[in-house]
Amino acid sequence: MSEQDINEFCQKGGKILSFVSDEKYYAFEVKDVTDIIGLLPVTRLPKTPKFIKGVINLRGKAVPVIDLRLRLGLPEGEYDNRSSTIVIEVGSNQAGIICDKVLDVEDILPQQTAVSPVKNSLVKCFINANNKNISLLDPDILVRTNR
Amino acid sequence: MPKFESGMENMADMFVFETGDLLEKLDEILMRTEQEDSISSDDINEIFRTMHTIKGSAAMMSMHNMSTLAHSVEDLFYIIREDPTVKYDKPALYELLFSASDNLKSELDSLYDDAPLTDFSELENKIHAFAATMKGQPATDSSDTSSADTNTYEGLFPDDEKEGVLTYKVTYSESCAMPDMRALVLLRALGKMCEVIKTFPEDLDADNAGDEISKKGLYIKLITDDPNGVLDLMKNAVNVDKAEQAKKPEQPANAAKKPQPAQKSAPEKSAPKPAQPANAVPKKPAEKHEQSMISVKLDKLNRLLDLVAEIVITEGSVISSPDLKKAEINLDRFNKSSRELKKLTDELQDVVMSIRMVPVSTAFQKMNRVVRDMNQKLKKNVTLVFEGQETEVDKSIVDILNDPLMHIVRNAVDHGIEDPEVRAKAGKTEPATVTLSAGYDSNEVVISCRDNGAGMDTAKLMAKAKKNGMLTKPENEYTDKEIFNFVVAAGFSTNDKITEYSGRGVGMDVVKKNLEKVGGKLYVDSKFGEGSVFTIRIPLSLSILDVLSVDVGGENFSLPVSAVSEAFSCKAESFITDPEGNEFIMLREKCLPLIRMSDHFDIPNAEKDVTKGIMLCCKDGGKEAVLMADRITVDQQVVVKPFSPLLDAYPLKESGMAGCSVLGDGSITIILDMKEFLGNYDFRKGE
Repeated sequence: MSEQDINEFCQKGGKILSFVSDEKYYAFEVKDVTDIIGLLPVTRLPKTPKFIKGVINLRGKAVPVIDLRLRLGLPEGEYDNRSSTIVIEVGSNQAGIICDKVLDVEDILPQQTAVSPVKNSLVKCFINANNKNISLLDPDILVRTNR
Repeated sequence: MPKFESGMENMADMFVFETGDLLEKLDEILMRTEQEDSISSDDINEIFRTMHTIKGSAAMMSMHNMSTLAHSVEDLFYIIREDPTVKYDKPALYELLFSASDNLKSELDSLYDDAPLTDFSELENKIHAFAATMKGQPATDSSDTSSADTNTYEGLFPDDEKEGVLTYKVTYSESCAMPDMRALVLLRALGKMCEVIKTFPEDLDADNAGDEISKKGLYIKLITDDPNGVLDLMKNAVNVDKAEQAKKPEQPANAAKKPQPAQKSAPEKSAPKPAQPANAVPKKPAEKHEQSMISVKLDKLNRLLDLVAEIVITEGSVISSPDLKKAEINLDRFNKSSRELKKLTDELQDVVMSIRMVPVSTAFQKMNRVVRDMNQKLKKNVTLVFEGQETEVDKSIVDILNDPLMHIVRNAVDHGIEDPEVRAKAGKTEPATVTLSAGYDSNEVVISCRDNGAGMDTAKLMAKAKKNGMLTKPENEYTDKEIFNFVVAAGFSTNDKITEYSGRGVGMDVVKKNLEKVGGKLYVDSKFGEGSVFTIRIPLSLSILDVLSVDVGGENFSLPVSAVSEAFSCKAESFITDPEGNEFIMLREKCLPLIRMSDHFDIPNAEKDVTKGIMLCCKDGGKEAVLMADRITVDQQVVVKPFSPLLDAYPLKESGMAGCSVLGDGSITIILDMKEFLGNYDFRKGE
């Protein structure tokens, strides 16, 4: 996601999908999300880092799945029946992100946002909504990792 | 920056596709007419139209060089069309036409390059000079003489004009590239809200319409209930500088009374068919034929193919759902419906597959040109014959075939066919022929190129292979076939240019490699003194692969059947280890390295005991090894899908994983590429 997009979000506000991982609040912009599904059987991919759980069959497509906790360097957690896979779209490619539980779709006003001072950071801006601190994640940086 | 005007990016693909198509058709016509040594008026019209269309669309893309070059060729054919009896130097004409066509093609290919437009003025001057000699007069710029020099249109305000007819004048900005095109678009938009009676210039398709509009403006006569809306529409149209209602002048200008028929300034339109009334309704030549073909983006077709594959898979999982077995109900009607559904999806699959099929003739036709050019240069007079050119293959295969065919045909003409004198000496009376044939054989498309030239001498080939150190077994063990295959080996023809075989094999190893990339194979056969045959075999569908699926610690991998030569259980005594910890399997006096797939892919719960697992002897890319898996699950056909580009950062490909495939039960298997797997595997342990 470009800087322009971040600024636009912070100036105009928008809809976000909030979710929880390791008791912290995160969110994607709703426009980046294509599906919210449960946990599907994952086919492990050898030679990939631990946070890449493998690929799932999403309507005939093999979509890579990332465990958000591991991706963020958090301790590995148990999956339960609240655990969900959020499918996001990066460019024309999809990726699944496993989180502890999905919360809500929320309308965010510009005054609730603050751009992260760190450039090209995983968290592109911080949101304060309903007394929660939510980190808005950048799907592009989350998924396009280097070796 | 690409060569075309910015803002036209979305048009560029279409432009390349259509113009490329037109140029190919043009080449076909030129080839045919040159061979038959006669050119019919239909052909002349066709060439004329083609050039006209290219000129128009090139101008729209602001490719002025292409547009003027096409224009000069168009001029040339205008002369021929006007006077079919005109005398001209035929070979020179074809030379000019072919080089014009080539230049246009290469400019099209480099459309996206960051380079200035190629300068075609030299060729244009040649064409102009040729046109001038045809007309028997010195070269002059013909466009100057044809354009009218008045600033108003004749008959703009006739005396008997009906009431309620409004006249508007639209002026386009000077920078507007193709005012006639803009005018057509504007008229189409106007047509939705009012009745357009007449325009000036009358024929917007005419060649000089654009010039006239930029000079005198565009006048539109129409009847409408909403004059303000009409005016707004005109004012807001693209590139419009000024739009206003024009009033009939009190005293008609004298100039308008001068007889100056409109068709005089549009000679191309009026001349060939005198029967056509001068004020004929403007019509586009392309619309003459009823359209029964449409062009579709390949992306869309691929998406369709994917969807159908998904439907078939989903259908399978619905019909064989385990839930159905649990329910103790009568499934007769369900079974009947599901059989019908299956029939329909099968048919759907067939139809979708057939959409992508095109006749190989498209690839063959291009060879005509290659042979013609070589005939001119080498004076060999080779005839190119096609067999089975209506054979249909997948579009992607035709695209792949172009390069290999070109190499093979070139070699056949250059090295296979002897010089006419040599042929005569050898007592060969039949004409030198190269035959391209196509057909199916089991699941493969077979394309062969046969020449009746000199053939290859096994003894000479053998001597050369020996000299190049290419022999891997005793000389007398080689069969003829194996000897001929030296021809397509890398480095075979790089030295010793003196023998008659030099060049045979130039680029052939590359051809072979490219074919192998898509699962194709290249075979060579020859009879000394009688000619050679090069045969290409490509699987009918590129995306479907026969695989052997194995289970390793609960994970599923699939190996291409073509790479697995043998599957066997291993006895304890044929398992060997060396002091460094390397493991080997003895297989019929061969000692092959053992690769435990569980080690390679870091799978913890796999079978460790070599006598209990299954051994797969794999060979690809010149390397051989034994792979160990827990058990073979099934052999099946799968559709290989490459991994998501998001995984590009990880060494999947380098580790031998080519992609994955979604199976009928919804699970995913990882497809291995044995060439990469064995090629990159580090056979030395302990490092």
